[in-house]
Amino acid sequence: MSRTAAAYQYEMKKLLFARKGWLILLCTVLLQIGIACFAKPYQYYSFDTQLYKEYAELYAGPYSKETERIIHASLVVSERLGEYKMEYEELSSEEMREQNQKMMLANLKTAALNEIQNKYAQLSACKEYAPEMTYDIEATEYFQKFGMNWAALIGMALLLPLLMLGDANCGMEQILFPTITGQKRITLAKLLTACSVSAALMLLCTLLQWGIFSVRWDFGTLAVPVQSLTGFGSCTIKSSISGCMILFGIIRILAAPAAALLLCLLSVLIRKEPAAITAWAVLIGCSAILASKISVFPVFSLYSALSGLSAAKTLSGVDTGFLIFFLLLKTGLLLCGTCAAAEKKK
Amino acid sequence: MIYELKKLFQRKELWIVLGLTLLAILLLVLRDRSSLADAGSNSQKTAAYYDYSPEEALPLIERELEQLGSSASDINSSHYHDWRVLYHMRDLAKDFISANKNDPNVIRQMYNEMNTADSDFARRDLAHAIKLYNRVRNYKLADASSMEYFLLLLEQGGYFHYLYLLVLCTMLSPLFSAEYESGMYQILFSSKKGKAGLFRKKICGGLLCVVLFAFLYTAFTFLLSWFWHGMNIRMLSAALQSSALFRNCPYALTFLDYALLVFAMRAVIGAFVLALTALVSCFCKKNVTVFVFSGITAAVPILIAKLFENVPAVQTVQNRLGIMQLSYLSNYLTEYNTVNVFGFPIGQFLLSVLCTCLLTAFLLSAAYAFWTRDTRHRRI
Amino acid sequence: MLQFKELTKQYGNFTALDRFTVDLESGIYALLGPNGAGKSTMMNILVGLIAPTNGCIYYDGTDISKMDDKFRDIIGYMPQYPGFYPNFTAMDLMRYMAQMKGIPRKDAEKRCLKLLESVNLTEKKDAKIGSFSGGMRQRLGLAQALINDPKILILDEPTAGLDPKERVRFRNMVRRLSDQITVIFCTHIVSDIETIAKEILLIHHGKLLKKAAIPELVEEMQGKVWEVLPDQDGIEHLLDEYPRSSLVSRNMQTAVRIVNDTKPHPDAVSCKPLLEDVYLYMFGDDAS
Repeated sequence: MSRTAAAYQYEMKKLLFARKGWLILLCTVLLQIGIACFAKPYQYYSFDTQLYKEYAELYAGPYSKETERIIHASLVVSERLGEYKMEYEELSSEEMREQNQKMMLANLKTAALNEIQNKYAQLSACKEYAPEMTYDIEATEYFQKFGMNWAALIGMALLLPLLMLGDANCGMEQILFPTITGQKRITLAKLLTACSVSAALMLLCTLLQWGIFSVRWDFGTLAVPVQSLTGFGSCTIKSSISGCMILFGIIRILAAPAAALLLCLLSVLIRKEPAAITAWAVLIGCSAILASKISVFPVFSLYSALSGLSAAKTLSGVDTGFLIFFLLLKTGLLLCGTCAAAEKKK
Repeated sequence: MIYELKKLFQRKELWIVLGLTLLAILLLVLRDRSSLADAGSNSQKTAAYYDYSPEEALPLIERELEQLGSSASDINSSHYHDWRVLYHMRDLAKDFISANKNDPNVIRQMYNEMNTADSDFARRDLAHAIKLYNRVRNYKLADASSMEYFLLLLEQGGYFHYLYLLVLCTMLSPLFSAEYESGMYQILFSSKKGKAGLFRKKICGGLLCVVLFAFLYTAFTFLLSWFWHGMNIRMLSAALQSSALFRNCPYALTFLDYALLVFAMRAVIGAFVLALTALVSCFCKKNVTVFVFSGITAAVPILIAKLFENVPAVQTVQNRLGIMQLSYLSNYLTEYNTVNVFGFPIGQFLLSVLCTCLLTAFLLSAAYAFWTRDTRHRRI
Repeated sequence: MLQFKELTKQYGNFTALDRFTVDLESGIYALLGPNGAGKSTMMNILVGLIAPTNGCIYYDGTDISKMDDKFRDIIGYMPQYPGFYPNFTAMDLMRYMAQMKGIPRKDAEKRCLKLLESVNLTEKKDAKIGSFSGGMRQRLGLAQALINDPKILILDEPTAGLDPKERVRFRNMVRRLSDQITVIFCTHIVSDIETIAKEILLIHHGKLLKKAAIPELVEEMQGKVWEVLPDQDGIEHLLDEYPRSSLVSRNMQTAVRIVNDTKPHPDAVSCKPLLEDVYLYMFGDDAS
């Protein structure tokens, strides 16, 4: 076995057993299960879900101009109810209460109908992909949950600084580095351990997420274009929901090593675990902010790559290719940079 | 106490984290600016009337509405979106103008309800509310369009919680653990002041650190909104009710009062995190362990709020307990909210602050008790 | 042969090692100098933990920075107060170090057990290192340094924390090895140096002052070591006037032992010099 492979084996063993990394992994898995079990479908507006369901069932079915016209007419009626202005001086308390309730109900109906109309407007905008697209209330909103995987990121934040700084903190570096295996190989072994642990953790958390969500909710038909998801109306990727889920799930798993290497680099530079974790979180947050502000930035952004399916909203097919390319480039650069930073002697 | 502060600020990594935090706030400022602009540009109609005062805009909006159609049923579906936006803008303008004229509808409704209230508490509550709203009615309202960014930046939405908490935990985790890691604890514990004296000094130093950081964070946000968004400084003395968000705020506060309250609440949250860190440090000697455990414990209220965001009972309890919810002052101040305490109405905000301070004091006492448990004399 | 050529290390304006030049054959060499003299810096450069500002080190004519793996294969290093993984057992650590030092697996187990036996840690081989005392850690540190049969053994304060019996054991072990290998160790325990060191390297302010055998150094001190029995006031006066002095007990009385080129007191008597006197003579002003 080569020296690097032997060092890699020992780094894994040290991380998982000597430093109780298995406990952190277990907590991460439990956290992921908890998040997936308690997650609720995302709702864009606060409105009465029961009303929303009733209207959606009324208008469910393939897209048609007639359906859209009927929804619009209902909306107009509902809005008119909300126009009523009360003159309190002329009403008793009981009457005021009644009027309040009518207005509230009108507002709720309006909100629900607005949402349905938005949905149909979205479907009409992308009907070129599937003219017979159906409207499915249950199968749309929870796909927003396949975004950033917080459990995996928290697990990485707890494990990786231990890996990079554990030897330095207990004084083993000065014993290990003068050995024949040497500083270079040991550093490389640590970085490979970081990449493999982070990728495995992200894969595990993703599979748990998909598994638990598929048990909790009926996914419905995944063969429809991804544009049928709420918020994906402007997505230009020609793929089905299942295709996008798999593609961006793989991108997220590939992004995990890049994020891990960034954390390793910060650990090596700052040499204090809490500060490295905070700096890492802030940098990923900055990446998110820049991705939302600068239109060309998402393809370069680590946050976009980690966002999973949510990233598909703003990316085209070509952008996705660039995203993967820059992700691999970032991973390589971070690997070289971290090796160089770790080997820099005083 | 100054030495404790010096020990904390001598750590190079703290400055790195502070620098990155300021960078993140700067980027958040840029983000919010563009998202506000985007929200405006989503409707061209909104953008077109953005710079008009309500009195100037109202006749223009009504004329445009007439051109589109006299009622909703006359509008065809292609203009419907524009019609809705204009309709909403017209209502807002009318609200603003009537608020300026001290529209008494709200108070009149309260008087009616008070006369028919079925409990002493309900009557006291309404009387208190009327008193507060009457005071506010005499405030001069002003054009608060330059203050909207300021308010938005002060609260900063969901990112604030996590960023603030992370930086606080990073800053405070070495307060006690650094002594153990360097081996200085052996010397300090055997000194004249001993463990108890050291604990007091560290807590005072930590509090000062927390207040400084809260001030720095708030002041930086304030400076950015003045420098980047052109906030009108004179508006700081205007009534908070000038802003649409706080139109129904019953408390007589100015924008400056609000900013000071935000700073104070951040300091209170910081004190809570300090108390938590002190308690965790009694059991964990390593810096990273203290950071992780205090961070997780402080994040629990945030996570509970997120997980149970659709459960009103949980939200109510959280709002009353305060802690991390105190950073969302707008939740407390936008409306009149009270809690029934032995038949008397107590403002929910005051109760939350009180609960948080009591919890902080309890945690500090527990930390002190654990910290000094080896040094107390035992009766034989 | 290990050759240090003009080895220099600077940290900003501070020179930790100043054109350090010396040749070392096989045998035991002791590094002697006050704190901050540059002993640890020299050792850290030799094992590759820090890079020199100038100069280089040659092993059998080859620059060690070019030898890379090959040089690290022949060194064994034991730092001062070695930190180990507290959750590892002694045997786990030895196996790990054997792996890191490229010892084949089939030989590693036997070698680890043999070395643990030689440092008297066989009974504790399955105990966690976190439960070890300071002396046990030192012994384990020595064992791991010897695991790859090094040709150059570098030991930093190897006997700190060991009881007299263990110190004798250590000296015997190192003496047995020294015929074939070069041992460089630094310590403040003079008796260790006296009993095993072939030559002493005296270092001060980063410079090599002298490299000589113990008898030669002691011989140079002839006529420079004095003892006197003054009264109580006289003791304080002598200690103040002659910084290279120490108090010793003679026949239930306190005498002052002074290292000075000339007779310091009319009643002073010349004595046989010891290695400690050499130290005081060379570094006495700093030492006091």
